[in-house]
Amino acid sequence: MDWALVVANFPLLLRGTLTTIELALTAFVAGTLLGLLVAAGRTLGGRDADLLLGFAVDVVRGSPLLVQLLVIYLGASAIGLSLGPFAAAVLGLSINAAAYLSEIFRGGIGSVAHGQSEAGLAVGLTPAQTLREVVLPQALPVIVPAMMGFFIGLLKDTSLAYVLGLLELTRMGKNIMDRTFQPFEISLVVAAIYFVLCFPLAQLVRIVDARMRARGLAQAHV
Amino acid sequence: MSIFFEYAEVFAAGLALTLVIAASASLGGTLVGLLTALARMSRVTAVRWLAAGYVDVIRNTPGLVQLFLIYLGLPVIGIRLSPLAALIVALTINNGAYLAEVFRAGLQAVPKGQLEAAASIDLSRHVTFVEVVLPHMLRAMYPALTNQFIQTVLFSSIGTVVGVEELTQVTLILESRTYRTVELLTVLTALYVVLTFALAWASRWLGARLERGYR
Repeated sequence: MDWALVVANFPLLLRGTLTTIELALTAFVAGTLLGLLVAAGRTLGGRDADLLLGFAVDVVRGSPLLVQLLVIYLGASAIGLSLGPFAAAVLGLSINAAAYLSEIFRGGIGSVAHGQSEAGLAVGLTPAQTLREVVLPQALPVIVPAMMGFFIGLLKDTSLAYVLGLLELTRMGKNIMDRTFQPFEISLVVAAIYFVLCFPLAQLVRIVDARMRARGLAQAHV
Repeated sequence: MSIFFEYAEVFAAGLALTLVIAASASLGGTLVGLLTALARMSRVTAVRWLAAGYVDVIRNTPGLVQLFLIYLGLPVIGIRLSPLAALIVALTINNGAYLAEVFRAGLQAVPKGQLEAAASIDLSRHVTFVEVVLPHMLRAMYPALTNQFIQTVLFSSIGTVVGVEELTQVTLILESRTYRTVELLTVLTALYVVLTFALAWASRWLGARLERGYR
């Protein structure tokens, strides 16, 4: 192993890592908001909204993220909109995240006993209030660990922004490989950086999942 | 979409290679996953750790980086693979780690009473595995297995990065020749969506048939 080479290029790799984190966090926040809207629309918006949004979600989940990123980046420039690689990557990752997260939210909503929302409606809450105040809080033990697990996937998926030429961790690593002709060392270090980001999070998901499950069950038995 | 019919043969060839890649990586991944799941139950501590380490490392790094390591990194230590072989190997190793978890969950899904019942009527280990354990495992794992296959079909699109002429790559080659970007990307997305819808439908149909034996 040529460690001097790794050390010399480490600042560049760190800069790529920051872009990766920035990309993942932005897409996660935007995807969560959009995903909540989609889940609410499908739950409250009636049959037509459910069908239409459901089809959109299926299209996103049924095509590769890499293709979605290309559709947004190349598609935008083909119709005369100039979208930078970062904006295109954020947009593509957010839409993709929204589709998967909306299913996580719906799964969580479905896990709450139906009598709860009936009770909410019976005491005069609006459907939106019932969802926000009664159902969602009880769905959290299901939703939170799944969201955290999804974030780990998102962190890894940002590497696909490579195809847009965005200098996130993977592209930065590839550029260094091309310049130094040392692909073995650099790809190992790039993999190691992703591992350092993701592995502790994966352990955290396990702990949170166990705790929330225990709490959720305790509530159900009260 | 006239462009689809204009280049139908090109799309068909790309689609066929995508399916070949996904099928090979799924078969290979099933074998690797099964062996890893068994290794995680080994009596030898080092074997257990090695298997757990493999699963953790693969699941916490991007598949694209794994592909670079295999395609660009391995030649440095003397292992040179073609782009197609590197892609299949990378996806196999990737699949293996995820499928190992599926198999582990499948093994845990076998109720203990079933094993005790098999032992009480003196079934051999072999018969117990084939007639008692395996049906339970397959039933518990079936949705996860078919879902993993669909994910592999989608993820094989990273082959475009190393120039494997699967569905995404053949479309991008057409794009660079014709500049009919919007049409081509629409067709590409539609082909993947139709393919995954068809696969999901086929897996539900087959799953329903398999469930019949339990009624």
